[in-house]
This record gives sequence, C-alpha cells and structure tokens, in this order.
Amino acid sequence: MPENFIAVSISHHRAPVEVRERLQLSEEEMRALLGKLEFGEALILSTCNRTELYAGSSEDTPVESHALIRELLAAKELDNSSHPSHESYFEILHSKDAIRHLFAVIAGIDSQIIGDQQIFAQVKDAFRISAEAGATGSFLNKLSQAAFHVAKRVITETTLNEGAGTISYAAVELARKIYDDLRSRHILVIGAGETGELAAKHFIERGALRITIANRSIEKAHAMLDRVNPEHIIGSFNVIPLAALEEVLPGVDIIISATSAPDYVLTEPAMKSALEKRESSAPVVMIDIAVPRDIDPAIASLSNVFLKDIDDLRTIVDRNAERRRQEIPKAEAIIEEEFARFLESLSTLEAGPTIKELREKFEAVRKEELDRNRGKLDDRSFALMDDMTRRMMNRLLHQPTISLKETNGEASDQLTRIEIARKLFGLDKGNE
Amino acid sequence: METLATLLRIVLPIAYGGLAFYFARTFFRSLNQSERLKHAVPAAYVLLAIHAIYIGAYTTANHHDLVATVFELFSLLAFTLFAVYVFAELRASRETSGTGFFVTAVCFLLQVVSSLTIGGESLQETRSILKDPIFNLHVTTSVFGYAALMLAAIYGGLYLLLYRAIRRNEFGAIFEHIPSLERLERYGLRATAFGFIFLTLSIALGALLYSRIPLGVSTSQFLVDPKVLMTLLVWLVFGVTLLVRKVMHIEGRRLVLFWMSGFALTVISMTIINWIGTSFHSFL
Repeated sequence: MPENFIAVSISHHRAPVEVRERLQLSEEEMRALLGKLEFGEALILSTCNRTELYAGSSEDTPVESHALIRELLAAKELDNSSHPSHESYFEILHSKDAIRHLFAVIAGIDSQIIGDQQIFAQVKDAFRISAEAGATGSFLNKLSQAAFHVAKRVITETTLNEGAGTISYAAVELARKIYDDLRSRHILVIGAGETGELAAKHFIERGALRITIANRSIEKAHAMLDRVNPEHIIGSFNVIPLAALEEVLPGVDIIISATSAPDYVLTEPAMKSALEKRESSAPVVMIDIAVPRDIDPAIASLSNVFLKDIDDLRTIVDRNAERRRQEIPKAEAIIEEEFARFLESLSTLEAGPTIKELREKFEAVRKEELDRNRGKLDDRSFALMDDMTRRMMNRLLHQPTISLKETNGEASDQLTRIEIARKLFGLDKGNE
Repeated sequence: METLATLLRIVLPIAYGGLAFYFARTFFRSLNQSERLKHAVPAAYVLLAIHAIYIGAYTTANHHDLVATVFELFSLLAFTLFAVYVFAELRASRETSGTGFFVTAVCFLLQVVSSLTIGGESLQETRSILKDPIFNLHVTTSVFGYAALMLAAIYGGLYLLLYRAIRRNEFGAIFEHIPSLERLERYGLRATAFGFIFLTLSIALGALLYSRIPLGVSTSQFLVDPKVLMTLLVWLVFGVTLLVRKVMHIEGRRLVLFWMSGFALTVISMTIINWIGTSFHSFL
C-alpha cells in the first residue's frame, strides 16, 4: 500500500486565499466526494489553509494524481477547462513523501502559523469522516494511529504549540497573565468584526462566562454573540450599543477593542471617571487591536490600568514564532522516528501474512499436481512423491521466507521486498 | 549521629543549590511543562527527606531541637519554607512551577548561612527551657509563621516583577514562566493567612509560657522585649493586610505593596534585634 499511496495538496504554500477558499470542502461535500471515489482508501483534509486528498490502493493499478485533482475540482464544480490554472497550485506527493507530509501537517510544522493547535483536531476529524464514509481500510487505520502518535509526541516533547501564535490569541494570553481565572471576570469586547469575534471565541474557550459585546450596530453584535457562543453556554452574555459604553465601564475587568472607528472609542476622561466609580481595586486590562487605535494612549498613565496595543501584541507573537521555528528540528526528528516505526510496524505486520499466503499458494500448486497424477501412481510411489515435493517446496521457500522476515537495515527495504514478492507470485490477485 | 549531622550539614546547601540551579535552568530555557518538571518533584521530595534526617540527626546529637540559636533556626526556616512550597504549590499545581527557582534560592541562602555558622555560637542547650515542650511548640509555630510570611514575600516580589514586566512590555522569562498576577496574589494571601494563624498561636503560647515559668520579671518587661514587640508588630501588619483585603476590598498591586512593606519591616527589625542581642528574649 505505501507504494500506491498518494496525496494531492493545495495549501497556503502555493495557493492564494481566493484559490484555497474555492476548494475548501464542507463536511457534507467531503462525505459526498469520499462516496464517489473508487480507490481502496481515501482521506480528505480541508481547512482554511489547505485542502488535501490522500488516496491509496492495494491493487496493481496505481492511483493517478490527476484523477484525484479532477475529482476534487469536480466536487466544487470547478472543471479544468474553466479554471485551467488550478491544477498548477497542487502539490503531488507519492508514497513515503505523502506519509511524511501528513505527519508534518498533523505536527503543525506545515501550518501557516507554525505549531497551530487546531490542526491536530482537524486531522482527527478528517480520519473520523473518512472512517464513517467507509473509505478507510487497514492501511489508513494504521496511518491514523501513527499520525496521532506523532502529534501527541510533538505536543509533549517540544514547545512548538506553546505561546500565542495570532494577535487575537496573544490578546487573550496577555489578559490571562493578569487574570487566569476568567470565569468571574467581566470582559467587554468593543466591535463586532472578525478580530473581536476571534478574541471573544478564545476567551470563551478559556472559560470566560461574562462577556458584553458593544457595537454601533446592535444586530451585528447579536449575530456575533450567536457565532461565538453557539452552544449557548450558561453565563452572562449580552450586547449593548456603543453609546451605552460608559455605563458598563466601571464594572469591567478586561476590555478588547477592535472597531474600524476613525477616532478614539474610549477616551482618557471617560476611563478616569470609570475608574473612580469602580468598586474593586483590581487592575483593568485594556487591549486595543484596532488600527487606527480605539483607546486613547493617555489611559496607559492611569493607575491600575494595563493598556496594550497591536504592536505590543505583535512583540509576543513574533517572539513565540521565533521560538516555535527553533523547535522545528525537534519535531522533524520525531516525525522521522515515527515514520521509520510506522514502516517497520507495517512490514512486520505484512511479512507474516505474505509468508503464509506464499506457502498456501505453493501448497495448492503442489496438491493440484499431485492430484492430477494420483491415478498414475501406486500408493507407495504417491507417498514418496508427496514427501519429495513437500521437501522440495520447503527448500525452495526457505530463502524467500528468511528474506521476507529480515528486519536488518531500512524498514522500507523490507516493505519493498514484501511488495515485490506479492507481485512476483501474484498474491494479491489470488485474494481477488 | 554527629558524623551524619556534620555530613548532611555539607550536603544540604549543595542539594538546595543544585535544585535552585535546575529550576533556574528550566526557567530560562525553552522547555515544555512535562520536561520542565520531570525531575523537580521527585528531587524536591528527596531533598525534604534529607533535611528531615538532618534535623533528626542534629537533634539527637545535640540533645535539643533546631531552635537554640538564630542560625539553627535558619535551617529550620529553610526546611519549613521548602516544605510549605512543595506541598502547597509544586505538588498541587505543576504549571506554577515558575516560582520554584525563587523559593529554592531563598532556602539555599538560609541553609548556606546556617551550615557555615552553626556551632559557632555559644550553644544554649544547658538551658532547661529548651527541654520544655511548650517552648518548642512556641518556637516551631513562630518558625512556621515566619516561613509562611517569607513565602508570601516571595510571591509578592514576583507579583511586582511581573507587574513591571507587563507594564514595560518585557515578554521574557518572567512573563512566560511565572504564574498570573491573580494567582500570585491569591497564593500570597493564602501564605499570609497561614503566617498570621501560626504567629497568633506562637504569641499565645509565648504568653502561656511566660505565665508558667517563674522568671522573676514583670509584665512590663515582657511587653518591652524587642522580640515580643517585633512579633506583635509583624502580626499586626499582616493582620491588617488580611483585614484590608476583606473589609476594604483592596486588592492587586496596592495590597501586595502593603504586605511587602510589612515583610520589609520584619526583616529590618529582625536584623537589628539579632544584632543587638543573642538570647531568645531579654528576660530569658
């Protein structure tokens, strides 16, 4: 199977976002495509940064990469004649390279944000969907276990996933350096744009239960609230118009501002007045992710206030990115170890059945020939012939058996020997 | 026993120094949590066991608890501080291990001073009061009290360091590895509460001891004793800290500055008092 395993990938490395978004598949589309594919086993991974189709066959007919690409394009109703350029964005990976690539993806070293923490769950989902669609077999099942093991090792043995990788996540991490128990903290998100939404999502993931969204358009704020809290977690989630901002300010502990307003949304006198009304003397964390800035920088000089802007957060993200880059060799070493182990496990698992099948095939031929000559031989001669052919068969199979069992050297060599033996003696055809 | 006590007196500072170095190495290097603490927790237990054996061996060899001189107390203080840290934080919350270096470094300094000076002072084992169980309990509770307050001071110091780092956008090792301001404040308050309870007990036991032993001194002499005065002052400062937090809802940096000034007062007064006198109390 590894020799017939192939991956076609369109990702942030080669394709711009407008191409990637055209090829992004929903779960339903993935299930539909998996149902259509006529290969032995298949897996589809589709995120905002990549769409990849892995397929393998144990048959002699190799999986054809262009056929895979055509199927993918067809699933999105993009045919090659109307979008001839699409095919050039694809990367095609064969056998071992495809396996290594999957390991690199799940480890997070192939992600746009190195050490991306979501990719592990996304690959897991991809395997689940594939299994539910009946597109996985013994090879993909083994591969999934190996891939998950790679991801777990990278998480525990490296710092590749530690620290914030994006501005919105850095905002949350910074706030958590001041308040790590977000359950009791009142968080105010100003602006219902994408950045504010991401920050609100991260806050909820980290346990926040009191979030107020302030926005000029109250409808947009409601829509954002539905998106960030789709499971309707019980807590205090509400929306207010921007005009009512000053009323909630005294009771707020964390403020994230990400509007597209041209002027300051929060001024120094307003904040000063809010601090005077504040019952608690706990610090107020203010994070301004907007450009141009939403929060008057003069607020930073107020006592008991931490005010950070996008440049401050960028310092954290850049520092983490550099540290993550330094961890890549460690992750690569883990991938290589697990890759060798995977091939070894595959070959040891496959050597036994291959030897058994080979012996059964030889035995069948021997018996067939003996039966054909049964009438021509008396009992004594038949017994002699039976014994002689059995010993002859054993002697002939002795060296191939040793060679197939041989585990010295590269695991891939053994795998190749097994595949050659199966082809030479037509073992897979026999199974059909 | 004496040989064992002498041997462990040398081993202990080395062990504390080694662990402090290990914590420092993991603190400043980019290691993940599991790697960071792979050896720290078992090493901490071994170190505590060694220190306990040392206390036992020393007590047996010298026929009195480790409370006779200031420098003996230093070793007991290091042990108590480390034990409180291991059981209160390191064991319970692995992700806050960033404080390990600071706590172990203080223990190391205390043990170094103790190991270098122990035996140099005139031992007071001849005093019958050292055999009194209430006296030993009085000293032990006071050591526990001061150890807890010392831990509160470490948390307070770290709070101020992190506060400054965030204000100045210094997102280095301090920012990454030490717990959040909220958690440091919580731990510091908890340690202060423990310290306050132990000091209350110590003061009560001291008063009981004073009333039981006929020392031939007046009450006024008891009250003007520098150590009694200092302990009462420290007790008052930390009591007020807890009260301020509870009643006036003062929290954050202001509260930390309050208890840190209480600790500074403790250190200064303790240094002066120990410099002036060598005995336990002026009336002993």
